[in-house]
Amino acid sequence: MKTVMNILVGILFSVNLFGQNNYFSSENKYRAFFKGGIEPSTVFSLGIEYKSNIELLGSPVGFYGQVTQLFFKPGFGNAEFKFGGLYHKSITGSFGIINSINVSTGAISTINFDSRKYAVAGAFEIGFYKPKWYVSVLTVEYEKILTSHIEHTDHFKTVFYEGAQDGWYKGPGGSWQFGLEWGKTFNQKFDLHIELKVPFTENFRAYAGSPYHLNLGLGYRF
Amino acid sequence: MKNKIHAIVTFMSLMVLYSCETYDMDEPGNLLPKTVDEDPLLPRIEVNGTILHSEAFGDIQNPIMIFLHGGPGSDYRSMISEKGYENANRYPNERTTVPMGLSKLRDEYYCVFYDQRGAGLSPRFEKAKLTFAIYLEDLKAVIERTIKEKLNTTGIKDERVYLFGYSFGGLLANGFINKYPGLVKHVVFYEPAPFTKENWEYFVENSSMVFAQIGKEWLDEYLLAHEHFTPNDHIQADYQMLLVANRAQPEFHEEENNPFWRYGSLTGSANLDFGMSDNFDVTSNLSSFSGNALFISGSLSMHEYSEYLEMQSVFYNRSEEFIIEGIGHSGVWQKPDEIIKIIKSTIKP
Repeated sequence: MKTVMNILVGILFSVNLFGQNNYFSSENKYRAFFKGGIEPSTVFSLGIEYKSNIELLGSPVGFYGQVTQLFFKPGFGNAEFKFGGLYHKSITGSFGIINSINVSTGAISTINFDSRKYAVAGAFEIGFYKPKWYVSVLTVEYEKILTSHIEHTDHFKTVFYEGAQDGWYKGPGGSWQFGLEWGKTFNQKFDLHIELKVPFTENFRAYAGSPYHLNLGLGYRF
Repeated sequence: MKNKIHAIVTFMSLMVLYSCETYDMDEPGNLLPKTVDEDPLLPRIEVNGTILHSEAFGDIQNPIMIFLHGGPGSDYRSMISEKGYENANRYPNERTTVPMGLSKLRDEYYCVFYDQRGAGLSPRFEKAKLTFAIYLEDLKAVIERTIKEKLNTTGIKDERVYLFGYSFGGLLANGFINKYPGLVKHVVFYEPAPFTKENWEYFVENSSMVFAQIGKEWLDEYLLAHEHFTPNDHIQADYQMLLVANRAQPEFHEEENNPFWRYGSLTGSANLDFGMSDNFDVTSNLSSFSGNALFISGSLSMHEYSEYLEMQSVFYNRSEEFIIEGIGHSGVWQKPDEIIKIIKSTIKP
């Protein structure tokens, strides 16, 4: 019953943004990280995690923030900011569940429109977390885009549709990601992390974007 | 006092939120123009069990020329617009200039344009209803309808029509001639899609693959847009596709301002792009066709695919090739007068 409770709490508290390795069981309070890959475009993220003194069912709660930019066109015009919480619950031995929730806002500037989105997301991963390595056998992420503010460019209104409405849009949808993760820790300070995920729309239609999301991450604990 | 201020601030915040008009992404007309099934003011025809967005220009006593747009998924807007002039409004009575582009052939032909099903301002269809066989039957129905209209109006009974096929529309015209060679008098192609698997392979070998374009602006924008709205709904998927339009194939040398109304996103993944399949055959009966086939290409495209035009034209007994300088795949919109000049000087109605 306790194990079921732990799983339920884990799921409820559920986006893992960076492979956790044994970070939560280490003495370090902070971890800075860099993550680069395809998700959904070629992007990189810089962020920091903080392990708080708050505990939930005997396990620590962490917080994190990150900024994501386009790899080939960095700048705040195409950036995303994410803030969230993390929770690692050991279920039995090295087998455990890691969860996270986050809120995010992002901007994109395209030839057809400028958009700013607001979203919430939750995720959990289940796997084996050893002191020097971990493997997540299942990672599930869900992001719900609450609203997007879209302003069309003159190009769009001239070339495609002059009647396009500028303003707040409801129903921008959401997405699922299912995947695997693996990570390794070196010298108790440095983390290496790799993840592979398959995206779907929230109603499981073709995502029509990158067929896979692939990320490589590096972390430093302090 | 503190509670009152808090209540006032909360109330004002809610008022501001509710005073902002919000739009539904999947409501027709917000992000993309309404299609003929949603907008009764759009010009249309009823054929083969559906309605299609369509217009005709010119004197119906003239020979009939049917124009087939590209894609699959694009529409005929670029064929009735012209670079340097205002793009054609979708409502004919709101146009401030007479239709331009290839519709200027109306002085010698009765020019019929239509958006293929699932494309442009024609209705959206699910993938299962978007097959090449259905597209061929739609075209046959458009031809039969026009011939009947002409007979009823003028008493003139045409047996054959002229076809103009642009890009995918060229493949469609070719497939139609292969199936119904007796219904077409002459055909004009502007950079038609490949007719055979071998030609597809040549085309693919000389084109940039998506992976080679990582970091390109269009690809970043298209992929990142998925973080702002996902293609849960057909309208959202069509809207996202417009980030790809005119930009994804550098070898085409397309102009980004080449206009259209809507890009039917599902046509791309439907059973229309079948060129690489093993049972792909739209050439086996072309020898039965007795008309002329004009193959026109822009010099910029020819530079990328130098052998392509000849590889395509070889299937026709009577074919001629023409190159127009300084244009690529959007040449129909860029230099329609030069295309019209070739047509008028080569085939006589």
